[in-house]
Amino acid sequence: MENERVSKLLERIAKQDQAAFQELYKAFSRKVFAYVLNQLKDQAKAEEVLVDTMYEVWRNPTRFRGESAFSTWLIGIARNKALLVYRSRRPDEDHADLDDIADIIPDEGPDGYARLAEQQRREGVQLCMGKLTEEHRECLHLVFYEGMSLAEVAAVQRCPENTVKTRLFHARQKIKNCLRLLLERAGSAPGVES
Amino acid sequence: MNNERFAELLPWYVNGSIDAADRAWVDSYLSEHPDARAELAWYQSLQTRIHETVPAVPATIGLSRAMNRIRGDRPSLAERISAFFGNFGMRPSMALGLVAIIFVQGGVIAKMMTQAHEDEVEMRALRAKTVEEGPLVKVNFAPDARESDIRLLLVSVQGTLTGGPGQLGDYYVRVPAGKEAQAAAKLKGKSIVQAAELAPGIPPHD
Repeated sequence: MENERVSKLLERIAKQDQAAFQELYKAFSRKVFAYVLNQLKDQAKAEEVLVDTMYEVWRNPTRFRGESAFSTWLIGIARNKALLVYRSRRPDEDHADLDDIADIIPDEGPDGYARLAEQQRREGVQLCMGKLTEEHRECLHLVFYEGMSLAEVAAVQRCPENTVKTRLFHARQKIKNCLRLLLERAGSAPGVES
Repeated sequence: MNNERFAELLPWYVNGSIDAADRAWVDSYLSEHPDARAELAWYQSLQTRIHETVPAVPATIGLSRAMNRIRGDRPSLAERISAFFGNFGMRPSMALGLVAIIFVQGGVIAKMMTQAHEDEVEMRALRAKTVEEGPLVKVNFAPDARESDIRLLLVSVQGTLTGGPGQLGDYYVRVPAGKEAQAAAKLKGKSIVQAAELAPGIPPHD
């Protein structure tokens, strides 16, 4: 949905127009839900954060000033709310071993990439995404699911563009090595086909 | 150096957010380095898989909860007054003064006009008036429905309360002929309405 249409809906929402709110909600709910789910890995909590986020729009529709794509602005709100939920959780050690994995396998030859591209599966990517740190997982999601530009990712993550580049580099290394590790364990690990 | 630039640009090339000049550079690099296509293929595959990890959900996910929340979140009187006078460019203090004057005057006038109707404070405690013409919709309101909300709702469907409440809390609303289905649907969609259906007539004891 174009920003122009969004602005018109927001004007109506400022006048408590529920139909306009519903239209806006349906246009962006999947995007926000996907983002939050990627962060929290819990569907019920993701839905809760989605509702909270859209409620914020209902309460303060004039806060969007069109300086970015509406979806980028919306994900910024969702991010703050998801962070609150995320931080209230019991800390886990899911990604601790990935720091070690990052530099284990130096092979980046074309054969390695081709094999991964051909054999990696959804389950494997999901497993390895889940083992990344919050920033790295978010970065991969914003780039490859949301299709955001470098500047947009930097705006959402509230960091310089160079930081995004660094995060993306490390996220890429870690997920690639994680997937490769799964591939080497093929037969005993899910997510790849041998 | 070229390899580093390629690695840096590739994710944005794959997600389509790269500008035309950089896209042309990556295309050129790929044509000169066929081996680099494997890395491109990996990124494209990764993008596909990441999309697959997100479950398909309807666009209405959480919508009913959101609607319940906003319906229960009517702005306070102060907020509504402030918003109303804000439209005329008035300062809050002026607006409050004006409201106070209107309130006092309104109170005096209302007292004069409504002395004979002091019992009509709570609509749901009253018997409805009889209106003979038009189709009927049987409505059950939520226990916490406010009289003011019920009034507004009836106005919105051009309805008149003509029967009820019965022992089961049934109310009968006359609506304009030809609009009964639309009115029933609209009533049914409101959070203060538990049920609404077309009724052939008012039962004898209602």
